[in-house]
Amino acid sequence: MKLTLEFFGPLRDRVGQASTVLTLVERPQSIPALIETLVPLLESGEALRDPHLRVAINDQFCSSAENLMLHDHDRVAFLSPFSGG
Amino acid sequence: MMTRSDIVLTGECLDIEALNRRLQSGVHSGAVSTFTGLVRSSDALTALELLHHRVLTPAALQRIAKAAMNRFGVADLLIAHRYGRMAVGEPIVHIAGAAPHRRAALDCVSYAIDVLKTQAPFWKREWRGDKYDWVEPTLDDHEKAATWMETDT
Repeated sequence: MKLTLEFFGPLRDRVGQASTVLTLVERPQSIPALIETLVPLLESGEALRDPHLRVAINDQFCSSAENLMLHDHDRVAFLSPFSGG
Repeated sequence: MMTRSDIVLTGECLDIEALNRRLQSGVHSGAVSTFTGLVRSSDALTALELLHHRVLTPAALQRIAKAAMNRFGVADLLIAHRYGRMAVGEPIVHIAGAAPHRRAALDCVSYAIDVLKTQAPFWKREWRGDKYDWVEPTLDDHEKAATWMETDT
């Protein structure tokens, strides 16, 4: 399963890139499981464990509690805490 | 009474007078309230940069405007937000609300800016020369938003 990962805010600097494409063998069933799958695959991937990050899949916010139905070519955005206004 | 919200998300400098003219206060509005956030000078700041998400940010602004209008019964609400690099003194955000009474107009604008700061996907960088620092949301930002959201209807 191929995923496009996007990083927004300070997280972008922590993982050292704005986006990347990864191929996963597994199909994680939750956000916490997805994060643990990605951590060893990314440089400074432990930054994804920040509990304040928000996650959106194909431009829809997801919560850690919900079951994930990831598909090939999904876009997964990890967003640092917001600081508007 | 007709109601509507107006969202402006732009990389161009906000023209406050032109934005205020977009507000449709109408004959049922007895009050108009506005808030403008500006880039504040601090520690040799050369520019403030706002980054956003192409889809999630406008959707969040729409959601906040709708919640504010439902909650306070305002007739018209405008939320305009900049992205890109801004110089000291330039507007970052402008919010204007028209309502039948002053309390609703004042509260809807307070609600919109307090909630927007932590619920709309924007990220800030302070530039000093060719170096930047990210601006993280403060505890006060979270507390102000939480105060409104705890009592959201």
